[in-house]
Amino acid sequence: MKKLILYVYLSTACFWGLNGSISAQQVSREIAISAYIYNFAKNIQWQNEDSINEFHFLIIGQDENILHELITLSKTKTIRNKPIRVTSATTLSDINNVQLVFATKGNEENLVNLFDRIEGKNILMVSDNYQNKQIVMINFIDSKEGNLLFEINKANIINQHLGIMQDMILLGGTEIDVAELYREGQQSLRTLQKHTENLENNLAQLKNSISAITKEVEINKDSLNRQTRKIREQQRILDNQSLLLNQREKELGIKIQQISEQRRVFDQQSEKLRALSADVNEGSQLLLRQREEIESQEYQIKNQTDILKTQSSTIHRQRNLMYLLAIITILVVFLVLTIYYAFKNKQKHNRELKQKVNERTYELSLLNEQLRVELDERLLAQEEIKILNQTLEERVAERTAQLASINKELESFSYSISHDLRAPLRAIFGFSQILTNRHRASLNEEGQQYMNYIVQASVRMEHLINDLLDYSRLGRKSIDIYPVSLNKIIDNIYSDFKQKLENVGATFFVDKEIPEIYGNESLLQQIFTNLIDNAVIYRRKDEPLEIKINYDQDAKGITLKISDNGIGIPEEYWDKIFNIFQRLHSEDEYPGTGIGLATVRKSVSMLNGTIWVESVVNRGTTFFIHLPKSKI
Amino acid sequence: MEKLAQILLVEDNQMDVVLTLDAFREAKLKNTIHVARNGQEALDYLFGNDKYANRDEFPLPALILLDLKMPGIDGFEVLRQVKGTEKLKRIPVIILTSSREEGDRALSYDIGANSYLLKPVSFDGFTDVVRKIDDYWFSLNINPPDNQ
Repeated sequence: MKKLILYVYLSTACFWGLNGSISAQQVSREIAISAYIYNFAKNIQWQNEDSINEFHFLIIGQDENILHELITLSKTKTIRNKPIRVTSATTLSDINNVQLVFATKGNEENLVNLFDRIEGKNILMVSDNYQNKQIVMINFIDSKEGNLLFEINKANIINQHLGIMQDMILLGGTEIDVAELYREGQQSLRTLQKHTENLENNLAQLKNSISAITKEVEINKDSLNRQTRKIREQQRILDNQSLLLNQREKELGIKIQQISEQRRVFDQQSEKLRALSADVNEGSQLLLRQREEIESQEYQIKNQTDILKTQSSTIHRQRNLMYLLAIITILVVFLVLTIYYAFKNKQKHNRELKQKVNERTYELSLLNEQLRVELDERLLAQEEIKILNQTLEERVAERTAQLASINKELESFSYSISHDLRAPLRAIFGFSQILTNRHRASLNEEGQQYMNYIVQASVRMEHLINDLLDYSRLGRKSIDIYPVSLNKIIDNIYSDFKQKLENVGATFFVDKEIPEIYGNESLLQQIFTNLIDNAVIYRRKDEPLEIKINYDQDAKGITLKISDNGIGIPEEYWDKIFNIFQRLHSEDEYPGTGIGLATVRKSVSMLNGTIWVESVVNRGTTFFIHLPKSKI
Repeated sequence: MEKLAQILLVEDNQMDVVLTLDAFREAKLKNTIHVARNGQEALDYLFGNDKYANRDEFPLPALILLDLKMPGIDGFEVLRQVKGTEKLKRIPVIILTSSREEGDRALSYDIGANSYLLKPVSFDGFTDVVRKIDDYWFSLNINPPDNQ
């Protein structure tokens, strides 16, 4: 360590540069390098130069060309009349007797190592294009222009105790930047100094600890000596004791012999004893067996005593039983006797009873016979009823079928009325009307009158057909019954009749609060239309018509009252007027088909209601329609 | 107004035909009325069969007046075929019948009748109906576009 510090000091202190340059060479690089190396060697003084026989150049790295050139050169050249020997190696193994080391290109990573190895060995190192300027001595540089230059680190050369002659400068080459190197050197020096101080501190501490340890060792040595002495004394005591032990052992041997003799005697005696004890064992076994036998005999005796005891108790019990049996037997005999007498009595009684039963049975059988006859009669009657029932059902079914077919017929009948009768009527009516309209002029008065008759008849025919259709349509299909507002229905009808009523100067009054009833709108419409129509037709000519509609209400339902102040109906007709085609007046007097009220009654009955009439001739008529409050 | 709308009257009763035509005359309507005397003839006319092939002479009508009760193919069948045929289904069909039966009314509308009228019994009534048909269907109503 101290050596390194010294070296750094020296190298920084003695740095000085050599400035030189080599002009463009006309020779190859190898030849130039070889020539330069030879010249460097010539200008360096080695310390032991006088004692050596030859100058040894070692080439590190594998540069065959330079090796070849240097060998060639060495054959013709000498340095201060001493021959030159050139060798090469890849690593620096043997550096004894080497004066110059040439580190070829590309070994820079080994340079530090190389420098360390040659350090202090008085060897000049020439390197080729190495970058670490701190540890080069002479370093070749290839300039950008292709010239071969070199730089000299004079400090490093001097450090190796090599002398530099004045001619070296004349060779040319560049000076390494001393200032730069100085700075770097200082820096590394400082770090090294620090490092050194640390190391010195460590060293001092180590020294202290060593001296402490040495002291301890000396103390330990003393105690060791003392212990050694003690051990020696104890060994002496041990020796004495072992002597005593030997004597004792001998005595023991003698005693063992005596003991073995005594044991032999003992063995013989114990053999004898064993034989004796076997005899004793046999005797005791015999005794044991005898004792066992005695015990079993004792047990048997005990058992027999027990049996005897139980037998005596049994005998005692049997005697008791005997007494009991005797008593029971006496009782049984007495009972049998009693029963016998009772049985005798009963037999007599039974005989009498049997007779009575026979008599009753005979009576019953008679009654039974009568009942059977009656039952047979009843059964026959039932059979008849059953047959009748069956035929009745058949008859009902027949009737229903008949009714259905009649209904169908009626349907087709009304259909044909609606269509087939209407077509010819339309022809008669239509053409007679055309005749009246267009050809009236060509008819005389009589002809015109007849034409009028045809037209009138047609109108009546149409009414008849329509009324018949309405009537026949009723009851052909089931109707729905639901809550309806009568006021609404009457309002609708009134608007239809309004013109007609005004034309005859009629007044129309309706109670505005008729409650809602269960009914069917179209049926109710038909009913009121017919009744109002009738009121208009059968009005009194000399009295303005008044129509009133109001109602009565009770728990069962509602009674509607439709009154007029018309011509009235004689009481004998109050029922008949509801029959179809029942008319009280000629067609000429009061037009009508005789179907209207029949239709009304049919409609009312379809609503589960009833209709009747009260009237005073020339005063007016009131129709009453009672409708149930709820759906039936 | 362009060319007057043409009408197809389907009616088997000769007197009803005369009355209808007369009513048109009475109402002073000049529409051409083609008459089919039964259901088959009506279908032949509408489908342009045989003697009705010439559409210039027998054009598709703008309106059909259809009687229901006819022997053979009745009015319902004619209506069903008209409404089931793409090129005919938009032609308005007016049922003209003397039946007010509920069943007839329901079925007619169910299979697509556009209107249902009762034949009046009087001639005056007839004239009135014809005039109203003209008023409604050829003046007031907006008819569907031609199907051709």
